[in-house]
Amino acid sequence: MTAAPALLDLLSAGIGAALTIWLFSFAFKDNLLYKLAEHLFVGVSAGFSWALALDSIMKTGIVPLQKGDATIIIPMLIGLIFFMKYFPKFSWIARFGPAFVLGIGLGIAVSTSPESFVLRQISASFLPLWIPTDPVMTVTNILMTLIVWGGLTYFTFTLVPGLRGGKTSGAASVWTRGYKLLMTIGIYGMMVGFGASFAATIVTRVAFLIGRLGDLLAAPEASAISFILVILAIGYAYRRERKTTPPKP
Amino acid sequence: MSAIDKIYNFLSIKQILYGLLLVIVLWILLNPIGLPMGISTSTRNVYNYVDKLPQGAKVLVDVYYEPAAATEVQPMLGAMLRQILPKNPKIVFVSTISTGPAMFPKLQAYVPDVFSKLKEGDDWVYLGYLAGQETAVAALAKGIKEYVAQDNYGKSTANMAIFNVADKAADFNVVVEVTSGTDPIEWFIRQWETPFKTPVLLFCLSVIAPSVQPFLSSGQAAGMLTGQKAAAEYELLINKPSAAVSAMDAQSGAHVLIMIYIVLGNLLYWPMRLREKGRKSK
Repeated sequence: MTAAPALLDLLSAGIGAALTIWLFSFAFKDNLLYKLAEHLFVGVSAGFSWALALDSIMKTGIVPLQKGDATIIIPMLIGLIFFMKYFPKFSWIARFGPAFVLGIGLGIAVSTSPESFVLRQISASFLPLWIPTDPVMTVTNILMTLIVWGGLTYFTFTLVPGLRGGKTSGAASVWTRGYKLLMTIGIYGMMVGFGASFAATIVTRVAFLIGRLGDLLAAPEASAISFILVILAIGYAYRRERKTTPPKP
Repeated sequence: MSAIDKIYNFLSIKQILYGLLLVIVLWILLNPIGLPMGISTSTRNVYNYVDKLPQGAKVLVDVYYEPAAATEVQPMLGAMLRQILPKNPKIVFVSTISTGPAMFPKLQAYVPDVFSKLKEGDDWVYLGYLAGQETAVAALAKGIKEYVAQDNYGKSTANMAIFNVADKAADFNVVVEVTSGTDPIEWFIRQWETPFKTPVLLFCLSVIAPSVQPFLSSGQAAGMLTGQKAAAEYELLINKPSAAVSAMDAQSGAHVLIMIYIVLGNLLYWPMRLREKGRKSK
């Protein structure tokens, strides 16, 4: 590796470490360095998106046009239509752009959605409820089926009389009680699902933290300097807050 | 104020939890414990699936993640690439998220042993970021060479040998969706798996696992890896422990701290609640 790329790597690792520490510092106290890192992040993201959009226009629009592909003019014109909203007299034309994009997107998605998201999911929920060779799978399948039915009944609000108050008798009462039992199973199933989601969220956030701390360890000098700077910035923020807060009567 | 109230108030200071979390994770990263780890069935299924792919397997990889998510999903992809390398694969990399082009060089740096043995244009190609989301995914399925004139580095795709064998969805043995979101999973299920029956492997963050599990249960996904744990298991299966394995101790340490907080929180909450009930009944 030559000296210039090595120096560049060192610099980028240092900047990365500093920005990480400054952004993490918000968890302890809002301060100047956090604000600097936050504004840098927003600015860089916007600049990156611009560069990427221009590159995309070059690759998918200008280059094929230069090669003589005249059909590309049509999508480019549709793209330009979006900007008509800046001209009040012709702003009505701007509606055709989003309409075209939404129409195409909807058409593409809808054509396979019934099979992907309805039929295949329904057929996957029809499970064998008795597997003599595998008792664990038997219990799992019964639980799955009950929770599927429970979840569905919970979100059905109009089917059963007396479900949300009022009195029922005879067969209707039995039906209502059975329905309520399924609903309860559905609630517990959903709670387990939400619990799993929450736990998975923690796992992911901790992984993010580990990733960033791993990067900090790769640039120890920059991390140490940034850490000292952020402590000073937090100290300054506390001092300023004390000065600006009126004393308690 | 009772002792319970004082402890409760002290533990409720968020800075203390964040500080403890930082100290524990840093300490374990610097002094790894080497906790034992089992291999889950889902990871073994993915390993076996990749193992059974034929020689010269054609693989489409969607690099759909950002720097934060790389900690969880990049090790999975790295391990999969190392496992598939002896099969002389043909790999088309693409990104349907704008951060993809920034992440791809990091992937190359993460598994230099893989990219040094494969020839660009013949064995692998990176198409870069493709705007259009599901529309782009649908267009790729009908013919990559026709849809994407240049790769990420401005080279013409017209004469690339890889597209002679891996151009349309039907040509590919598998799609590997390496993702930090649920959207691209739905796009590939709708546009590649349903119409062309191209198998899809999901490498995703832990946080989205409960949302995409139904695709695995219904058989629409051929396999699924979720989170750093699955990545570490995969690394162990290919006998190349790397970033994910070394991060698992820190994960476990952080989880122990969070569990202690949950138990302590409940233990402190119950007497406070009983006291409150008693006060109300008076």
